Formats: sequence, structure tokens, C-alpha cells
Amino acid sequence: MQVGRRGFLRIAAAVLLLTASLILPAGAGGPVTITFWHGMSGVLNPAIDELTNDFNKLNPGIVVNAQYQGTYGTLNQKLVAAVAAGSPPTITQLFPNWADQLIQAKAIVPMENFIKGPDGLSAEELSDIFPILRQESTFNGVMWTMPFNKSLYILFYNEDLFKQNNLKPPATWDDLLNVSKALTKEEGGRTTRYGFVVRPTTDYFLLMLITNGGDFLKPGGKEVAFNSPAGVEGLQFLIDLVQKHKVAYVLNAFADADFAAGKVAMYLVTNPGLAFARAAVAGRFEIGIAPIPYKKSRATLLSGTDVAIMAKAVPEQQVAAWKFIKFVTGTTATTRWFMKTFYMPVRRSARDSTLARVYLQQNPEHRAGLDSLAVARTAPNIAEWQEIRDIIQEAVEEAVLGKKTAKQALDDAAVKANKLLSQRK
Amino acid sequence: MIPRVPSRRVRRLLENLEAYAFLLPAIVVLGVFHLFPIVFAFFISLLKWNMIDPVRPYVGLANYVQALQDDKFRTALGNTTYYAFVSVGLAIPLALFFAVLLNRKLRGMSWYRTAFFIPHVTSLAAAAMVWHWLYNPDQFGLLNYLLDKVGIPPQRWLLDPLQAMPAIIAVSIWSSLGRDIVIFLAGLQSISQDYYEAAQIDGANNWQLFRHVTWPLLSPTTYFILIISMIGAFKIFALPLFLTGGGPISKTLTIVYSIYQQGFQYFRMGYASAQAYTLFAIIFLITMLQRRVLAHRVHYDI
Amino acid sequence: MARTLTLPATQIRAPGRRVALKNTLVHLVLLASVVVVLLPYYLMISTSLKPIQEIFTDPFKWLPSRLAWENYVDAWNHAPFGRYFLNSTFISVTETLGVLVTSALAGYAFSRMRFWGREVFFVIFLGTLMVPGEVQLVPNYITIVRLGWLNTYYALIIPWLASVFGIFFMRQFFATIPQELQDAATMDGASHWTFLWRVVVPLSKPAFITVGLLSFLGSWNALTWPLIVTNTPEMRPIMVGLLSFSNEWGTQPRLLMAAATFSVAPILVLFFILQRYFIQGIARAGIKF
Repeated sequence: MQVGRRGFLRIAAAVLLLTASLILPAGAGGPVTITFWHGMSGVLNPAIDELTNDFNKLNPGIVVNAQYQGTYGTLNQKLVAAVAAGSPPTITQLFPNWADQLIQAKAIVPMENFIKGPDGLSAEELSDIFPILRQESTFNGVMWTMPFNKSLYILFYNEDLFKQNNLKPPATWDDLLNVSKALTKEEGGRTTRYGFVVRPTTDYFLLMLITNGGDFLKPGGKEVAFNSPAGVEGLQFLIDLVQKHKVAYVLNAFADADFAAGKVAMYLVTNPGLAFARAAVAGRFEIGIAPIPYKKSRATLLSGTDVAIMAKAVPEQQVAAWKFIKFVTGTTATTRWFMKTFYMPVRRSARDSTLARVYLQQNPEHRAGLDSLAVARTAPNIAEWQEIRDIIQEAVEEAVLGKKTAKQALDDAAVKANKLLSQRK
Repeated sequence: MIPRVPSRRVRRLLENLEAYAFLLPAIVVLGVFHLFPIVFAFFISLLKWNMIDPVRPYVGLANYVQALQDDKFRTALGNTTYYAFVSVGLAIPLALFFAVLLNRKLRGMSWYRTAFFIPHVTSLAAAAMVWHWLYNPDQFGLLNYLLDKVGIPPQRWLLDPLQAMPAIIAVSIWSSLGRDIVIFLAGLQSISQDYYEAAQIDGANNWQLFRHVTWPLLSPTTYFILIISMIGAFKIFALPLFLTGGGPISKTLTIVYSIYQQGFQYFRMGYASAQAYTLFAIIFLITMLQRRVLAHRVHYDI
Repeated sequence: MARTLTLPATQIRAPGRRVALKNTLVHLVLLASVVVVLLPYYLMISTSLKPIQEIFTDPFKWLPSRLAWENYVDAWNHAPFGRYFLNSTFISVTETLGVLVTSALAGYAFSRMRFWGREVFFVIFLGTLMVPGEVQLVPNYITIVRLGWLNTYYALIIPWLASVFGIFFMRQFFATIPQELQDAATMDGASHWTFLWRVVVPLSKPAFITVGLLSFLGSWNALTWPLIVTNTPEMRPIMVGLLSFSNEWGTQPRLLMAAATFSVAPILVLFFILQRYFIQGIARAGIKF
């Protein structure tokens, strides 16, 4: 075989091109690399890695790097710093009130662009996502983020203790008080076990507020409504459990340790807390789960984060990011995510899938959480909510520690919060 | 030929150049990563900036005015001052007491010394996790368990508005005691034995020895510890961050915590920087004041 | 043993009962204080060795029923601690060496050279100590991104290669070296450079150990900066690994305490070996302000 001068040049050019395409990254046909920042540590980290690996195997053209960035607080700080320095990731986990700020700064792109795009979701697929979750991802009528690891507050109780005392998990505030009375134990003038524990946090109060028919903001969203009679009564209820009835104590740490030691029979926590409670209890008793006890209306508080695509990413990365998000929030992935981490599945079809049903038959305690989803409420998804949470926290501390009456503390907090809201553009 | 001796001026210039060459690595690193950010922060303190908004209006001294009128910031100022004076006021006599004990030529002294120093080398993040546990409120925490053994009712520690700051002060003393002891020991060992012998011949007792020999001759060391402790104390942040989150009811909210909150939680960078500069001014004034009031009482001539 | 035996009996008796009593009292006070100081470590280590069922018990258990070494295995596998250890070691060692060199050079210049602006530079350097480090985070992060150093060892090491404290300390220490030595060296035609490395450095071992140890410690215990400038586990140091045990959902004390124990241990060992020089270093520097 003879190769002429020209032929040789052609071959050389082809070889060069081939080598170049192997060396040069994206753009020359190589895989698109995207980064995904998250705050999932402990048992949650492997669960994220598994999802990512599955996706990478199924999509040879895309490489997703899932990167743990610390607690949510640190994630938020890193995210803002990275946006400021122009080096954000492609995808990030984020709370709704962070999203509000990032939208204002044009740092993220609307999820809706992709949902309605060529590789998008049908109307059916979209409405399959629980409405409350979609609502929390929607800002001014546009869906900017996608619900990913959503949780809600539930009540954990020591099932063995309840059985021994012939008690049923509390459905209402009155039940909570009565059960707590029954389970509080005194020995030699010293309480060795409490029925319930009060963490002086924003969320403990907000749960009382909404199960008492109260609301976060007044209609129109210009002023807060948490200092309503419903809120005052809710906060007073927590205080009474501690001070008047002496069936609960105040704790400034996770309650799982005391729960495991048998020092408290019930506490409020979000779904992923189960993995930690189980590790702490170490099989000494069964953990029961019930919806949050209510007074006027059944309700619970939605928690957990969504995911968003950053505006700085190049179009190919954004498309790849959407593909990844579509995958992890798809029926199969969200079902498995639920069973691994106890976060809520984000789709109805996932909740009703055979896999989930079989799982629920074997683990009926998870029903309480899933059922609560129908009555879940979302805190306002505005940037100011971050600081308002701290303002409420301080009011709760003031009231629980007896520095102010519940009403006074909440009224003072409302003044501060309203001032913040009035500055909102 | 005799080499020409460079003129005095040239020699001075050369020595200057050589000195700057020696300083160059330090100046580059400190300039880029320590000094520049401080200057940068000053300009930021004149802006309204949330870090990610491209619009960052110039507001002059408005952030400083806001800081002085802000109840939260004033609370932080009060808390920090309380922390600084009480923690330094307790730590120094305590460290001196142990240093004097450890300065005796007895067996096992180096073991004690090492034990006291261990907390200082432990990461505060790790130590705080253990302390948080010790301070668990009600009768379930380990400290309360121990109190219960001696018949004292359980305390709420970090949850109690009055006890939270003292509890933090206790951890901070625990953590810095070893360092102060070592510095004091160094100071004690540099006092010539002759002074003691002379005083003993005059019939001085132990207290008189301490009062008239040790204390004055140790004053440079005491002064040094006082200055660095005060600067450090006004910058207190890690302990409230890890132990209390600034609570309860902002009772452990310190100035740097407030800076962190405004800057990294609410993303008011301009305002946070203004608070930082206010803190700088306070530390600067206090350091100068200490120099004014105390420097002439320090006996450097040993 | 042999030495005590050779002491004349009178000398042992000489101090008398009062002194012996006093010494015992000193020991008692110190021993009690040390017990209090070390209590948190007892809690840390005993928890790290308790079987899972014994961690949260009422009443508190002082001793584990058996030593649960599996806690250490679980903690070690909870995050890539092997990699974290390597990173921490590399970062801390490099940083410490760098700090020693820059501090020695600058400390020498400040203590033994005359140059324009000496006082001004020194005051500015000391002034940086009065500004909280948090202020520097954002500008430094932006600088690191501009330099393209994000998630590299450069970002972790270079900003900390000079230390104001180190410079200050070296300056104090070098000032104690007699001027005659320098005069003699100058007569022999030695330059500042030669004098520094041939005479000053060998005479300043305690100072180097003191500054080195403190710098190593600061680097090993650093938390915020490494977390901000790294994105992947491959680049992260040990303290960031500890952080992965604290989160928004619950506590894992047995793992946390095991990890805290093995991440604090190297520093303790190092201090134990070097502590003698450490105190000498501080003593010789004869700190003045």
C-alpha cells in the first residue's frame, strides 16, 4: 500500500485531531462536567453519592461531581461568596429564602425554563410533584427551583413506653398534655423522666402557631401575623407544659440523646432525624412516629431544601444540570431517596409506587410523615425570613425563660420583623 | 589597588535594600492576605452591599451611624466588654497562682504544666462539643449530675441568661490558662535568684517576697499577657458560636459574632465591615489606654 | 534511685516537716486542678470507647463495660480521614517551615538591621492583630478565586506563610543575642545573611520550636478558611472532617468523640515531646511590649 505525501498529511491531521479531542475537555465532544454543592453529611452523604453515580453511569456524556460543603449555614456562606467571586457551582441545594436573594441578584436561572423546554416535563409529570412543594419553589408565579430533599416535622415517641402504659400517641394538644402527664416520672423528689421536651426554637413555636390556626404573614405579605392570639396561645402552651404542668423541660441541644437514654418520651423533629434517633437508641426500644398534635387545625411545617441551577454555568452545563435534576426528582430516584434518607418523596407517583407500598407495609411508622404532607405549610419564601427566624427565636427564648410574657415577646418581635419587611423592595 | 570604600550614603542604601529583601516574603504575604483585606473592608464599610448584588451604593458613614444606634450592636458591645474584663480579670490571677506553684522545684511539675497546657492545643471546635455536653441543662448534663451528688440543684448553664456568659468565660479560661501559665513561668524563671536571697537575708516572708520581688519584677510579663489577652478577648467569637449561637436572648452575642451574623448570615457586608472597624477602634483605644496607664509601672530593668 | 541514695541523710531531713506538708499541699492543689482541667478529656475518651448502648444512660456511666474500638473504625470510615490526615500533615508542615523562614528573616531585620520605616512597618504589622480575622475572609476568598487557587494547596498554605506573632517573637528572641557576636562576625566579613543562618539560627532553637509549634497548632486546628477555599474531600484537612459529624438533624457522640480523639492526639504528642524547649523559648524571648 502506498501512501502519498498528501495521504500522509491527512493521516497526520486525523491523528492530531483525535488526540486533541481526547485531551481537550468539553466543547470538543468530551463529557460535560458539572458540580453539585450540597450539605448532606453523615448517612445522607452516601445516599447522594449513590444517586450521582447512578446518573453518571446512565449518562456517559455528563459527569456530575457531588460536593459536600458543610452544614447548611456554611453552604449558604460559600454559595454567596462563590457568586460574589464568580465561581459558583452548576447546581446547588438551597432553602427557599436563599433562593429569593439569589433571584434578586440574577444568580440562578428559572427552573421553569427547563421544565417547559424541549427535554422538559409534561403537565402531568409536573402536577405529579406535590403542590405544596411546587408552591414553595415558586416566586412571583415562576418556578425557580426544584424540590429535592424535603422534610416535615413529626413527633417521635418511645413506643415501648406507650405500650407499657397503654397509651396512644397524642393527636391533639390536650392529648399531648395528658400523655406527658402520664409519662412524667418522679423519683425521690427528682424528675427522672419527662413526657415532652421543648426546644426554644423558631420551629417549635411555628408548629404551635399553625396547628392553632395561625399564620406567618398577614394577607398581602407586608406584615407578620405570628403575634396573633393563635401564636400567643401556642407559645403559652409550650411554656405551660414546662412551668405550670412540669411535664416538659427546656433543652438547647438535639433531643435524640435524652430520648435514647429514656429521659424523655416524645419530641418533635424532621424526618431525617430518624436515622440519628435510631443510632442513638441502638435498638433498646421501638421508635414510633405520629403527626404533630394540633388544637384548631392539623398542620406541620415543611422543611428541607430545593435545588437550583446557577446562572453562571454555560448552556451545555445548564442542560446537563437539568437532566440531573430531572433524574434525581424522578419517580424511581425520589422513591429510593425516601427509603434511604426518610426525606419525603417529592412525587405522588413515588408515594403510590409498589416499591413504596411494600416498604410502608414493612415500616408502617413512615405513614405518619407521608400523611402529614397533605397538611404541610411552608414558611414565607422571602430573603428576610432568614433574619425574622432569628427574631422569633429570641422572642421564644424570652418567653420560655420567663423574661417577658408570651404576648409581649411576640409583639416586640413583630415590630422588628415588620420593620424589616417594610424595607423589602 | 585599594578597594574603594563605599560612601556612607551608599552603605545606608545598601543596608536598607538588604533589610527590605529580608522583609519581602513577610510583606508580600501579610500585605496581600492580611493588610489588603483590612483596607478593602474599610471601603466596603462605606457601601451598602449584600455581596452578590452588582449595585452597591455609597452611603458614607451611614453604616457607622447605624451601628451606634443599633440595640443589638450595643448589646454585643456590652456583652463583649463584660466578657473581656471578667475573663481576663480572672484568668491572670489564676494563671499567676498556678505559675508560682509550678515554679517550685518539685517532682512532677512538668507533668502538671503539660496537663494545664493541653486545652490550649485542643481545637476549640472539638473542645466546645464536649463542653456543650457537660453543660446540658437540667439534671441530665454531666455537670448537673456532679452537682446533684453534692446536693446542689441542677443549673441551666448555657440556657440561662445569667449563667451563659459565665459558662463561656469558664471554658475560655480553661482553654487559655495553660498558655498564660507558661508565659508566667518563663517570666518567673528569668527573675534572678539573687533578689530573693537578698530579700530573705532581710527577713522577708513568702508574701513579702512575692509582693516586693516577684510581682514588680514580673510586671513586663503580666503587662504582656494583659495586652494580648485583652486584644484576644475583644475578638471572642468561636466559643459563643459553638456553644450558644449568641443566645439565650442575645446574652452571649459578642461583637465579632454580630459581625459574623450581619456579614455571613444576613449578608450586609457594608454594615458588618463598619462594625469590624468600630471594634478595631475599641481595641486600639484600649491598648493605648493600657500603655498610658500601665506602661510606666512596668519594671523592665531586671 | 542511685542519686537519691547518695544524698546525705541530713539533707533529706533538713527541710523539715513544715516544708514537706507544704509540698504535699502544693501537690494536692495541683492534682485537684489538673483533674478538673482534664475532665472534658475523660468524657471525650471514655465516650469514644463506649458501646453504642452505653452512651446515653441514666445514671451516667463512668466506665464502658467493654472497650468499643469499633467506634474508631466507624468514625474513621465516616469520612475520608486518611486523606484528611495526609492533607493536614502536609499543610501544617509546609506552613510551619514557611512561617519559620519568613519570621526569622523579618524578625532579624526588625531586631538587627537599621532601615527606613522600621517602626512604621512594625506598628502596622502589630495593628493587623487588632482586626478580627472574619473581616479578611471575603476579600481573601475573592483573591484566591482571581489567582485561580480555589481548591488547591496554594489556597490552604500561602496566605498563612507569614505570622505577625512569629515575627514579633523572633525579634524579641534575636534581640537577646549579644551584639559582640555580631561585631565579631562582621569583622570576619560575614554578611547579615551568613550571620543569621550560621550564628543566630543555631542559637535560637527554642524560639524556632516555640514559633513552629504554635504555627503547626494553628494550622492543624484551622477550620473556617479550609472549608471556604476547598470544595472536594481530596483537599480538605482534618478539622473539616470533624465538622461532618455536626449537622442539623442529630448527634453522634460516639463517632464524634472518637474522631475528636484521633484528630487531637497528634498535636498532644507533638506538644509532649517539645514542651521543654517551648517554655525555654518563651523564657528567653523575655517578652516586652
